[in-house]
Amino acid sequence: MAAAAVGGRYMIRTWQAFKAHPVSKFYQGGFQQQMTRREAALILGVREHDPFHTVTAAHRRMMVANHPDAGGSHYLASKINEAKDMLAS
Amino acid sequence: MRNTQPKLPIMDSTISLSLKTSTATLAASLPRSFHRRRSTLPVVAPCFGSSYPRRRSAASFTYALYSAGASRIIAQLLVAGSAIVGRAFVQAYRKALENANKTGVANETLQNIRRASKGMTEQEARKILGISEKSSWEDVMERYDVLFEKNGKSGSFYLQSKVHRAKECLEAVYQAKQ
Repeated sequence: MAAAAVGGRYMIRTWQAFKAHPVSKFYQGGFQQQMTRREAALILGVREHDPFHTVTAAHRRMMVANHPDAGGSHYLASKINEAKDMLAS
Repeated sequence: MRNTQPKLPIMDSTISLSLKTSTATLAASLPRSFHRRRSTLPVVAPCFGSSYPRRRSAASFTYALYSAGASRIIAQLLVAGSAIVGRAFVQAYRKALENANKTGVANETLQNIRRASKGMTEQEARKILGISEKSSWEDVMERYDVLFEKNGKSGSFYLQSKVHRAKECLEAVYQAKQ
């Protein structure tokens, strides 16, 4: 009886913690000084070993969203290009 | 199996000196048959407790003086000496490894990366948002809204979070200005 109560309380606590946890937290800090494959994959929203066509499609999508002539920033566009160069080599 | 962990050398010498004098007086007063009995030793050195046969302590060292000959003493000295030397060597080696790990080229590059990624610099934040030094806070917020939404819709979460962090950093800067 007591064990069931303790177990129930534990279940309720974990459920509340799970609900209170934010779905996703923003990444910390700035860009790395030297771009790595992992960071490139994160920038483009692909996996490190994704095939060429996936990477280029993601790159095109990103550039449409962040194009300097259409309101994006030059710095972000250069980072996206650098990421694509690193992954789609 | 005797525990060969030696005590601190200072403690060893003072204890052995006091034990030598005490055992000398006791040896003179006790009959010969008592010299071989282990049960007398707790009386001589009560601080060592009843686990005498298991401990290589100063009590056993002085007991050895009054029982079998020089070979046992020499053996115990050798064991103690080698234990001390071995322990010192191991400590020195470990310290050298630690020092080697803390310096070196690979380690420095790691530290560079760690230091750079700890936070965002103001300059990088301005570059990300496309903001110049003279822009006002409203400009910052405009750029932030545009970029955040664009990257949220059809960008990556990573870029969106960088935009967010850039705005946070500039927020602190502009608040400090006011």
